[in-house]
Amino acid sequence: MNKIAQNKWRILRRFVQFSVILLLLSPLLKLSVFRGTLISGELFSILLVDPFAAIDFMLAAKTFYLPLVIGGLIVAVFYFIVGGRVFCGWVCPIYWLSEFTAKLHDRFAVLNMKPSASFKYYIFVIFLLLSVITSKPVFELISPIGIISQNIALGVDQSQAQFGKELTSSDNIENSGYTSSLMSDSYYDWQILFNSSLWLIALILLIDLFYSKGWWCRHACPVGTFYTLLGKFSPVKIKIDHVACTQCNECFDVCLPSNVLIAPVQGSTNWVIDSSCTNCLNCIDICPENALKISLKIKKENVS
Amino acid sequence: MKRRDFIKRSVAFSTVGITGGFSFVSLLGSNKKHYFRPPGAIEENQFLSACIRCGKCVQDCPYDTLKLGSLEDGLNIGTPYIDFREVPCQMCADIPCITACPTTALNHDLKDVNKSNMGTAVITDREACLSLNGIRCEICYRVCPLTNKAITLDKHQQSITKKHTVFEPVIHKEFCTGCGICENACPLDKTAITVLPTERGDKAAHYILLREQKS
Repeated sequence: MNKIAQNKWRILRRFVQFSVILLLLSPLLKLSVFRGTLISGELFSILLVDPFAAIDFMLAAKTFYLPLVIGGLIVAVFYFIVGGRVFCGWVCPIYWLSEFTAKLHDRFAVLNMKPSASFKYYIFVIFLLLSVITSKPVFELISPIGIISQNIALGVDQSQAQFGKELTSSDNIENSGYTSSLMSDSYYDWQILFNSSLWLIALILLIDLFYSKGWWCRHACPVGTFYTLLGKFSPVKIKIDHVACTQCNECFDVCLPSNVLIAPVQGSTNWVIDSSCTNCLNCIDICPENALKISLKIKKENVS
Repeated sequence: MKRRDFIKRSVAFSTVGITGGFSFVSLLGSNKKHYFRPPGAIEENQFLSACIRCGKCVQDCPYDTLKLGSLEDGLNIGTPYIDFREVPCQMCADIPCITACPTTALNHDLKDVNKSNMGTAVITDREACLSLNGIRCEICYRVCPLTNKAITLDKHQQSITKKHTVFEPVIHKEFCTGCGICENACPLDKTAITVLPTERGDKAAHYILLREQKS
């Protein structure tokens, strides 16, 4: 019981992350709650678009499309209210994988490269500039968020179509008069595995594992950087009680964007003001003195 | 300890190198294949700009016609395409793929699927075509969803026997939507009727000019 209380935020967060994957899978379970992927989807037939993808589209296609902008704004406003990188900490499956590899990193690390804090802003600007120059939404081509959510949402669907006969013949194709004789034999090989865009995710995770802890999520992902910028002034932040804090620094070890806690723990502010914080709330769970808590930062406060 | 370190380093370097190299070679490898897009897709270059690779159209396609471009498809990764020989477009009246599209990559103004233009069917192998050889095949004519419009039968006398009739399938570009049902149904191993991109040589410029000069 005590253990659950100690890990309550982690358990809640895992539950939310798991529900996101269930939402992505819901069309396969014939539930009409959510359709689409994390780039764009429909929740109860309200169009939602990843705001970074929406910006990318407008820069690349150089057109303004109202439903897309509204869809992007709904998502952006939501994440502004709950605190910017909550998307990373609570929704994105890549972050989940990244947390896992960050744990393994301590054992398997060859190097631990730490790019400077401004590195991710360069990446962010470079991707946006590339979209303008090439007129293609460049980040969406390699977006691991898109790739993994497509593989979750369509993966089973697509492999059913590719692996052919047994799985699909029952409803659609047979009724519409198409036998799947052409789709069977040649696909029983390694082709699907070698063509899979999941290789890009494997690459990210391998770099995470061997060369730089949480590399992609901390230093590279432009979607994360977008939410960092968005979350600058968002009201939900972690507050630190300087009287209770003994500076044991245990929270540093569980924090994936690790440098966000340094300033508040050392006493220069009352809040975790660095918006690289994903509000994953691991630090609240680990804190032996209960010095940290989540609260609303609405008014400006003086440093005590 | 040193030996362990060496093994660790080489395992790390080789796995990252192989995965990285493999994905980048596949991603950047040029691919000259034409990708047939869902109904209502805008011009190919603009389509590649406007498609945000969300995969919603692929998910909403009820017949699994649309496939999602993968690593080997380079720039087309994450974009929808059709392989007519596998599953052709079934021409749903409500066009769910267009409804699904969150951007302008698929034209939301297209309401009638019969006005879509994914390509144009062409008799690509006149020598192999069974109908043109005087055999009563005409499968492409019968499966065409725009019966007697996109494909008509041109009947003329068989030149060898002088008794029988050749039922020649003739495709009309202005009606053909390029759904690929005919290509899918063609009984030959290598199809005699194939959907090709609509943008091909245009005779109109020369043709009209000639006519105008005469009058």
